[in-house]
Amino acid sequence: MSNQNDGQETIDLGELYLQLYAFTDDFLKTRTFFRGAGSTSFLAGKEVHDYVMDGIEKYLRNPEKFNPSSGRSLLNYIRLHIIRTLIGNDLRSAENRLSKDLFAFEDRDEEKDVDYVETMLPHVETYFDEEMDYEKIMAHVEDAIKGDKTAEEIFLGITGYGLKRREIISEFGMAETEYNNGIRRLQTVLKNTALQFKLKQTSL
Amino acid sequence: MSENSKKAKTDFIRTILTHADSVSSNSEAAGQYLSSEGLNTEAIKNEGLKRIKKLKLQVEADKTRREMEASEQHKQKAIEWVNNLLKDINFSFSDFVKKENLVLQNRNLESLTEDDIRNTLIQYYTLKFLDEDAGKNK
Repeated sequence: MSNQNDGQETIDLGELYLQLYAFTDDFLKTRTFFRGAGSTSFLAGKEVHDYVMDGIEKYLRNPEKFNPSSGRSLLNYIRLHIIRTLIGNDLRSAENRLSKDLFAFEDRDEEKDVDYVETMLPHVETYFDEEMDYEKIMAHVEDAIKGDKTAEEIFLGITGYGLKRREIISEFGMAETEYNNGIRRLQTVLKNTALQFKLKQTSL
Repeated sequence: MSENSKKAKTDFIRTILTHADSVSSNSEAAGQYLSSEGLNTEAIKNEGLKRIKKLKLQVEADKTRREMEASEQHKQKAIEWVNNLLKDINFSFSDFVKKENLVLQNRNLESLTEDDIRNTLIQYYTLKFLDEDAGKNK
């Protein structure tokens, strides 16, 4: 099944759905990064499918709100604007009034395409404990990935040069699959490190 | 907090966020991520397509319903408009036809009954109001 947006770009809806599902799944799991929760049901009993469909529905009911000439892709429009906002809204709902969460923030970048990491960074940083010894934590991460060339290069690309995914792939001449596997191993190390250092989000 | 510690904190969070961005950057990465999480990508895709198909039908049905409602509203507005127009003793249908460049199926205006004129005017104003509304919503 495919769909054509106003920019006459043919979208493979199956592929789009998978990407949105992966984003939402990881996005919601990152919320519980330090809680170790493995539930597939999130806020108000919603599951990943529900958030993805809510995002697609918002687009299909108001396709004119997506402006492909701005350079923003449909994937980015739905994942970085709609789904992120939907989850943010749920986090601010009555059910979650007593907890301040990692991704509870206002969307202020509706009109421009956004770099996910740089946009999220200021919001997320405020929820991390100031008192932790992050130099020690990072030294631990560095030590844990020693010998894993791909993970080391990705880590260096992100922390040393602030590179994005495609820049790291190009700069270090790695295949996409290598990158995908490398960042996954790096994520596992980060999770283990967070647990080891009892790293928690600050709360209200 | 020292500058070094601040940078280390930013780097730590940036690395976490890069992962979330990466897993959905393309369909291959998405598939690999979902498989690594023990999820069935084909089942997810099929479920998604099934839901999208159902949603598209709902969206189309809602659109048709809204259009029909809007059309009925415009027709009511046109009826009121025409009633007032026909009450005006200065109104001349032949002048109106010339002014608005109306193309009528029956070119012999003399043979039109009062009901024919009324229905023609209602049809004309219904379409006019619909066009105006569509123009506003663009």
